[in-house]
Amino acid sequence: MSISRKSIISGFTFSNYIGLKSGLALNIKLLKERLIKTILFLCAASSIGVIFFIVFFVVQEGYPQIVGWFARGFGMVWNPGPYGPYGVTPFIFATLYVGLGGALVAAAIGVPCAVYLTEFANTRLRNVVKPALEMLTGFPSVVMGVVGFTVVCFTLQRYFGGTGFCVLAAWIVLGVMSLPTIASVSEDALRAVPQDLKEASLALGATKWQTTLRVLLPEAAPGIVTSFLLALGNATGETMAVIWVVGNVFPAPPITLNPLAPTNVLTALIANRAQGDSTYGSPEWNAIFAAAFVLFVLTAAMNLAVRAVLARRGKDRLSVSLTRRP
Amino acid sequence: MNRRMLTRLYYSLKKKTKQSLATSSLLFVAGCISASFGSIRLFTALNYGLLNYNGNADALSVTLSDVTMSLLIMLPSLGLFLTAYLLLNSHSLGWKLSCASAIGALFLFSSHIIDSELLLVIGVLSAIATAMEIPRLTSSNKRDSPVITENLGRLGVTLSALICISLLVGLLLYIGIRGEKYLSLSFVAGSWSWRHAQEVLGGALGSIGGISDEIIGSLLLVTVCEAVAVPLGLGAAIYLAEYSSENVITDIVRFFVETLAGVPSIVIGLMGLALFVEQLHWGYSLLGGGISLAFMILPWNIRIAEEAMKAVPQSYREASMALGATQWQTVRMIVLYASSPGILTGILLGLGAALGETAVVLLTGSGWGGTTTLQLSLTHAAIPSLPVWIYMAPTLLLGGGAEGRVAEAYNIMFTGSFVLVVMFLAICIIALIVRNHLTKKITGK
Repeated sequence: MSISRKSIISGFTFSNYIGLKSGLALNIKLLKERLIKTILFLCAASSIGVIFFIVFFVVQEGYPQIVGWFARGFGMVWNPGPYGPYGVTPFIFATLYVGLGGALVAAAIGVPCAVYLTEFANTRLRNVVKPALEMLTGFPSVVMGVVGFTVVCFTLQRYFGGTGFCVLAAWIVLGVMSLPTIASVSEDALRAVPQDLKEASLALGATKWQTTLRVLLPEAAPGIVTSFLLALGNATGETMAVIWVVGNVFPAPPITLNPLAPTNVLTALIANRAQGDSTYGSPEWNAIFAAAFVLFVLTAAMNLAVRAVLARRGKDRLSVSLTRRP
Repeated sequence: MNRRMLTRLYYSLKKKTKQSLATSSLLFVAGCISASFGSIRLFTALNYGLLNYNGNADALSVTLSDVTMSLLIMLPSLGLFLTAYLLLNSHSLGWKLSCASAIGALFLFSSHIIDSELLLVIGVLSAIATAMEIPRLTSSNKRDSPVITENLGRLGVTLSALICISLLVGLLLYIGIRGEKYLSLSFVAGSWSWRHAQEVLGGALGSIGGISDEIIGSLLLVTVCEAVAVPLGLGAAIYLAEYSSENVITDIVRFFVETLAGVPSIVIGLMGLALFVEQLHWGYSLLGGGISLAFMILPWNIRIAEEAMKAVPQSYREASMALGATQWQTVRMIVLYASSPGILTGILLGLGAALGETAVVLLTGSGWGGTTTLQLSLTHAAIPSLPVWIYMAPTLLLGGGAEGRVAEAYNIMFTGSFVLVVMFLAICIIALIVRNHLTKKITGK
């Protein structure tokens, strides 16, 4: 028993597997345990496999254009048709601009909301709001999009003229959409701050607000930054909510900081161009996959940033589910 | 307001310096202007809405946008009153706020985003107040009252929580109001044809049709998705939580799980498009869509299940081991049982997220054709799906004589959205009930 425990706990080696090192005869029970462990390991490895699948197919379909971009620059205009060139620079810019603004809108409302829920709200309110926020993280994005289309764009059109499709509309829609994520993850982070730190501050005569500002928020900062980065990744990779409100300016969206200008983002570009205009294997098809590769790299970079933030501080403290809404 | 209160107010004001009285009254006037401006708009908008609503979608949208806008105009007026109060009590935030309002109002006025001379007045008033405050900044007595700071902070976070909650509640209410118009049993249970719906919208009589095929299609898709994602996710979670100590392998696996959680759904959809639709020649299909959805929610399942298992006390495992159980028996009978509330919640929440996902299903399961008939085939037919139906609805409804009925077409789309949201919320609420029930049963509390 002790030997089998050891071989299960310590890593996995071939000689352990076939039972040579243990010196035992092939024991059915032991073999079954090891078989189960192998199956479970394969399940765990499946997520690695899925990532490789994704990268493999995206690169396989997109590599001519990826190579082209690195050889001749990323270009400014996405010229539909078989000859290109397929420029993505404005789309990349708009993706980052729209995503960052959306996450900032969500953080501006969501983080104070989390502070309220942890520090000032009574238990009954919190017991209703917290599960509701957790539920709404998976809210159907297409519904978010149609509401944004009929409410936000309509309002903007009435008051600011134009079509109403613009960066600002996308910010608002993405902000409301990321709100539950930011609020609930920040709330978890604030809740994870040890009670004695808070009590020490209050005992020194600090008011509740001073304690919140100078003790709670700095202590929970890694978690709050993580929630922001998760929302940023969410907003950057969002398709269906954005495609309704962003304007889908096609060949060359403007590179502008004006929030009232219509524009187009990578996800909407992919969704719009993949709809049958481009046949399998055509140059534009390759370019669509190359654009997806760019999007993948952007979000992977944000994911690395989350890991870096968590690795620096407070990983053990933040025992929250860091899975974004899929 | 009786006489004693007035006297009290008089003496409390008398204690303030003349300068703070002057600056705060400037800001108070600015606040009054902005508030009256906003409330006139609010009343006009509400009046219009009450007179014209009668189930008219356009009037609803107009009212909603006007009310939102007038509330947005009234929000700064609240800020201006607050600034006046802060200046009266010589709080340092008052100076910063009046400076910000001066810059903001003058910027908005000069950029012609909102054309209103009142902005100029407000901007000038707060600019004068800011200028008058400058000498006081250099004076020696600059301590802020902690009570006011405390109350300010409380007000701020309460306000943002209020905004957050009302935004989300308003979202659900809006979908409900716009969705109820076409909601009927035949809409949920009947079958759909775009051509027929166009004709009905264009003036022909008859029922608009129903979306039962889409609902069943969506449910089939999430069933296939969970059939793939649950075993894989659960296995991975058991491996990460129970069978491995923290080492390089688990670190790598976790890294990939997190990366997968961060991959945008449209990229997963494109992978499905290349693999299932084109290279395996399945076309748009139930199996392709389901597997792609499973890839999307796999990290969700893994993380939640792993955390639920890690929360099981170590003593349970030790007790089981001490009784002679093998590791697998311990996992199967003790750990999985004790963590079942968390695991089931995770699975159900993943289900809800998969139900509402559009991009992946559009590229792998349903395609762009607006498929509406359900064919029971794993790999040979496109599957109708409710989110994709919602996405396609405005484009496919507004044709064949129905071009002028935009608001009605959107109402039909919102009815579909309403059904989807109700399904999503039902799954979430079931998840909560299951969690509470199982937790009670297991912990005996």
